[in-house]
Amino acid sequence: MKRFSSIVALFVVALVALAGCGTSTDGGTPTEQTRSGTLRVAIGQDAPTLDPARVTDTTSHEVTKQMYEGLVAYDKELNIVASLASSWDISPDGTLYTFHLRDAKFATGDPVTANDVKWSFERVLNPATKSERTWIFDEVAGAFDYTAGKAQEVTGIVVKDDKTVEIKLTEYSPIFLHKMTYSAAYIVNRKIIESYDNNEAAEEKTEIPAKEGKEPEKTESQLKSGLWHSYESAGTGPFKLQEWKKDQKVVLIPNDNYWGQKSMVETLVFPVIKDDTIRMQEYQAGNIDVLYPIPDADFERVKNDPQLSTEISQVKDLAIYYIGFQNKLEPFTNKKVRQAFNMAVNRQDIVDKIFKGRHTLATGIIPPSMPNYKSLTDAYPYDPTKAKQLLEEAIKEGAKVPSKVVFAFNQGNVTHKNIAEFIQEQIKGNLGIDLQLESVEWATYLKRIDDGAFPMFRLGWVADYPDPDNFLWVLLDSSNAGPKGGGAFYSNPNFDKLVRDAKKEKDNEKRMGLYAEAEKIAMEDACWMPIVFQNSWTLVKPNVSGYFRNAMGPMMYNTVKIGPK
Amino acid sequence: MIQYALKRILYLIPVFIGVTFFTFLIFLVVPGDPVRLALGQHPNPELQQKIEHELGMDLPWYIRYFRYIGKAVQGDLGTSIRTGEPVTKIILDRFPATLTLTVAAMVFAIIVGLPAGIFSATKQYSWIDNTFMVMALVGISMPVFVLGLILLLIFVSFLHIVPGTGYGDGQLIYMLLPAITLGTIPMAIISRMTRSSLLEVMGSDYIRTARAKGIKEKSVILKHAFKNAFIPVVTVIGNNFASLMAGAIITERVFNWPGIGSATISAIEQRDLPVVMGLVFFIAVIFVIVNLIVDISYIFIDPRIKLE
Repeated sequence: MKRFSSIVALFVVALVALAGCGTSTDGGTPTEQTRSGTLRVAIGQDAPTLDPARVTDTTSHEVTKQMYEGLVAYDKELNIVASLASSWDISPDGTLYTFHLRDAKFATGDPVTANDVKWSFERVLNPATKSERTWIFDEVAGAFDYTAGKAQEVTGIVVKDDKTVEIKLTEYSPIFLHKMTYSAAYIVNRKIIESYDNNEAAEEKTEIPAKEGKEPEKTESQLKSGLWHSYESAGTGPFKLQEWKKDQKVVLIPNDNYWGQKSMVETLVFPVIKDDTIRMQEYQAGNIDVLYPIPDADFERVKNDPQLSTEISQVKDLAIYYIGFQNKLEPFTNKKVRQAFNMAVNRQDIVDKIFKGRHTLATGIIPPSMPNYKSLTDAYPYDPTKAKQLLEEAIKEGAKVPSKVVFAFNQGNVTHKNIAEFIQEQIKGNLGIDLQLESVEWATYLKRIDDGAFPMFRLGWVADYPDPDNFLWVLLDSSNAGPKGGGAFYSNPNFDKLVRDAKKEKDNEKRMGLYAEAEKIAMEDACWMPIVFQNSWTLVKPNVSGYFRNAMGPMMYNTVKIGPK
Repeated sequence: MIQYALKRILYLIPVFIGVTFFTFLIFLVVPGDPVRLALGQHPNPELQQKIEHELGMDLPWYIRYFRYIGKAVQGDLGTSIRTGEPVTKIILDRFPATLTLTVAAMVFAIIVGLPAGIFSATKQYSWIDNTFMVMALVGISMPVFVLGLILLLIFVSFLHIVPGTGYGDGQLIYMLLPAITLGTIPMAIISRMTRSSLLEVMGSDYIRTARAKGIKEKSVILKHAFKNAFIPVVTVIGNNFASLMAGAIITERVFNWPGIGSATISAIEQRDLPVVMGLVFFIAVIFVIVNLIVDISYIFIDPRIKLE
């Protein structure tokens, strides 16, 4: 028996010893790590790619943004400001942009020239790059021909001299500069990427065993060249890639050749922590410095915690959560029915009881954080009597109200279910209509919304760029009904005209006025039932200063400073 | 023996065909278009078509299946829709983490489970036996994520003994909690199995004879009884090892461990079809091979087992 107990004792000793070892090899406590100047910003999934041309998700965008720059960027208030271009001129007809580049260098020390701009943009348009963002150059003259292989170069991108590049558009576009802030419009270092294309660097650095060349068309070499961004960054931003351990972390270090303010932290780490609970726990354990977003389940606890509540900051997203009506299906073909539904649901209750104050009651379609925009709309009041009256009028006018109306939401999120049940109860109580709830798997759900199959459904929308066009034209213009964006199949010629006129308007103030008019029409038509404008919430450790995030993501981390804890 | 091994290896072929066929079938009937999902809410139709064509999704399913198998046997499992990485590379990158975690978990399970089982059997119905068996019951019953979170709370948040989750830079300390979490269920099974198997053997005639000959109790247990009692335990160890190798999905998720399980979950969440297919195929291969090794190992442990 003694021997058995000694085995157990030995194991316990080994465990303790192991624990001790780890603490010492780790370089000390989290406090010391923080002092060493490492900023740790948790990400909920690994970046699918760090090649700017292929970035489509927010995580990859957040990481690449630290290493790359475009010609222009957003400031804190979402205004477009100079970045790699120190200035730009726009021709009176708005179709010719002349960008003047600043004296910037890539992280390698090579100067950035107009040729790099042309090469970077053409690279995105080259089908071999497999970019999903070619459309950001849709208005650029010659872009389609180049992608289709009909031209050797994009004729609309002209290198005037080393520091000047002209971009000719086929038509005026008020959102062209917004699109130039996308990751796909970042300027990349041709030398680095081509070194992998030539496959020498790739052969050295990838661990894929090269097959004996049986198939001449084999894609392995292409794949290696496509993966250069796993090993190196090729940008001009304040940081450069030191290491990317897939599914573990992305480590960036300062780029000393950056033209602007150099990084104030020694290392910037993005640890991948997929589970919400664990991410929160790691933040509280002091293992990460910035947590975005605060998981929904933890929001109330964090808000009521005396310490954590001082570390919260709010981000007013350009995002909306809404219930869509299929305007071409009964009973929602009738405007009064749609209005009645809007008035029959107490949405403030949804904000208070279901979202627990995380989000703000939606007063229209365009969130109030939209820069330079003043909305003319207000939320439909909760008025069951008026709602009932409107429904009766609609029925008199011939509206067909089926005994059961399908209301669909996607599976896997309890909030969607709770909201659906709340609305079901209110519609039944206030209008006497039975809503039949259907919870559908996401892929099928999207497809059926595109097909206009659900009379009522829930959806959300997060802006791609801070302009009303991204809400009104994309989601509600009749030409976009169906898969392109408009699950509501909303159609009103007056609305369409305003939104299309706004696309051509060069005076920004007038343009915003047109959108405000259009939004008012859509709200009067009650094309949707807007629920909330979404906010997200960030936790930042008190010793971290200079962190700022707006609706388009975080600012560059070069201004972030870590002080003693 | 070689004949037996070869025969077993040949049996693997229909197993692999079955596994790949059914995985393929599942993705055929599951609603939703994986390419469309990978491309987001409003995808570019041309790009979608292009990717579908590259993946051969415009071909009849049986041609796609045979094409997939043909490439798979050459080690080409396709490329990820999301990241463009070869699936083989994804697997090779993640597998070492899973392997080390599995080995650590099994070492924990055996080092704790075996002595606990033997101890309980020799002191049947004593308070120590009862304590061990209650602990084993708790170990088997407790969901992995609950145990994982409790350990994290105690060792990371309160005691600060373990720095946090993740792989660290390979330091052993990061492996401690996931290994204990993952190893707890096998540990409990091993201790219970060892106990019952040993108790059964202890009642047999040859043990009585051994005792009658005056052999010391410790020798009776370790040299005589344990040898026979060990056979069912090996089966348990083998089976558990195989399933742990297939990727401890929940443990890897809770501890942020960059292994096969974690990669599988991410790929499913992102509907990255080639990656999911490749991972399932790989998991099946590992599972079958480990089971084969366990089966063959019986020959060495128990000569009575005939290989037919």
